[in-house]
Amino acid sequence: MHKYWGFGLHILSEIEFPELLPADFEEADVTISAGEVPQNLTGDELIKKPFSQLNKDEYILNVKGVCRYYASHGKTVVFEQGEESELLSVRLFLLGTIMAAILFQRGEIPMHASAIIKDGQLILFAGNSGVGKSTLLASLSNLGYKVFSDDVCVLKIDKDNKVTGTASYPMIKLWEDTLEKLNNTEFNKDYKVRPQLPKFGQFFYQTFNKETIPLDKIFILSPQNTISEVTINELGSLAVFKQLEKQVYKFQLIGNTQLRARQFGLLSMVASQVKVYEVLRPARGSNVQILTQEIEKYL
Amino acid sequence: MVKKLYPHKILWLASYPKSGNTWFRAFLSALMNDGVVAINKLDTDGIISARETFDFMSDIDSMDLYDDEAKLMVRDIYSNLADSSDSLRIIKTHDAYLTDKEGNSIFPVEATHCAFYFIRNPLDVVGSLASHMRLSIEECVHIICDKNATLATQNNNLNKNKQFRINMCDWSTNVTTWTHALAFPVYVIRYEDMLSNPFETFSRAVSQAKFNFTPEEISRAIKASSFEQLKRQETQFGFVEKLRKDVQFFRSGTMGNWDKELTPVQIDKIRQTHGEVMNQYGYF
Repeated sequence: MHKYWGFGLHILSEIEFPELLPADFEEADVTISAGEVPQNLTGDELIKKPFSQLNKDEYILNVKGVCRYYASHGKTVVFEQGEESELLSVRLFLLGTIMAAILFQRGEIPMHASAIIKDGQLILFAGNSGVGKSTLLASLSNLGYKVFSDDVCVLKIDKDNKVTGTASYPMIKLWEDTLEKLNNTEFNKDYKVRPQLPKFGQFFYQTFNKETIPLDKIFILSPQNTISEVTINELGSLAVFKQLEKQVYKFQLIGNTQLRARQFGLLSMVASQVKVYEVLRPARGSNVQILTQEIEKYL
Repeated sequence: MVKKLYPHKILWLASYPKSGNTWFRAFLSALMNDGVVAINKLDTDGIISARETFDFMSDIDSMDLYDDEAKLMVRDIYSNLADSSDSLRIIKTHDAYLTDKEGNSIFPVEATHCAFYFIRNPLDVVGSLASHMRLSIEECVHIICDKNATLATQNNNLNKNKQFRINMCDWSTNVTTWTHALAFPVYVIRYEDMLSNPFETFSRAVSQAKFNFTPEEISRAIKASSFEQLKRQETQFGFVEKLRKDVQFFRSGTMGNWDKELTPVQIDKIRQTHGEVMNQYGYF
């Protein structure tokens, strides 16, 4: 069995996860193993969708042709690999949707955001898939900013009632064309995230910080078809809450009232403690260097 | 609310691009909203190739899927979307009516209320498409004749644009795949009829969709969604659906401009490639 740290959890796995941070511990928070995935779930607050089923403590996902997954009680992941798929693909979807399900089952809220550390505090860059979170993160890394997490950041409230964040794992995923644009010799194409996907993992084990760190600011990236220049606006408290709800990673997996209440409480605290900016950028032809320059003015 | 009459169903608005689809969506919006239409808030339900709908319904980050994997899931996604909705969904598509790699249609037949297919003279489509995509007329003549033409083009089975790859094929294939005896009603609307005889054309469509509106309501919606009104709104507020900010989506909206825009060689190529279907719809 392999032991790792990821998303603030001790993970014991039957398969290797080069993406995660090797760790040593006595008791695992989550175990991952191959096995039989149930066909159906039952129970209260059951939600059935074409490729997934969800109840309060369990979740099934079918990535057609790749793998079926079962996440249970925030502690167990079982996967059934498709005949023609490979472990690389199995791991990719497990580290995405399935870890989100595990975190929700544990009552934790993952944000769809990349993050840097500045002056001992976190700055998050949130937004949907494809808005440029990882590209912006890599661009800031080029300028010497310290990378904290790519794509997902888990928010928590510490004992002093301060909102904090925990990183996911020490890898940034970048498309090949982004790698070429960034032109950073430290980035490479050694680790492809899926066999036919020109997307490459960039590891940062050496500088990875698995501490829980206070949150300072959140930038929400929003591509727009109707604008030609980057505009950054600080959001008022009402708009903040509405926008933050959409930035919760896989928010559709919040299926029960208890978790919804927890999310409400956490996001309310974020809204009251943290400055949140909306970054409107041209949807096409936008330049990451210009975006980075504009955002730097607010860091 | 007319959409409530048809829960768990989808009305497809299908067409080759620049053939009146958006105009019709604006008309429906006006019809369903007492004659008021805002082009950036059309009261229809997006496009089948939209990534956000897929990601929400599948729980998967679809950019990590290959295009053919995603296409295998689309039918079930939209079938479930219809099932879970208590009102009619009106969804646009520029895809030809094709099958996935397992031989199944990407459109869920059992969840379909009906489809409208919008058709426009391909000679006029070329100029409009060239302006929309900021390509030359020659490039668009090539696209409209290309059997493998796609929108939101992503090579090598990739799937990373804002939308999934749209397999629109060449103009004739787009038309014929939608109009050859599908398992649900497909009503063809000629763009030219929308222009020259709007009341009769839109009234017929309203009746085919089994929507109940009075002639006065239809007239009011036609007026509110007239080409001039849509163009005025685009000039004033911009249009979120256009590909490029510096290009007018609602351009001229006329018919028969092709003889000023296309060379005789280009006209000949389109007529040679698409003559049979053009003839069928009175364009030759």
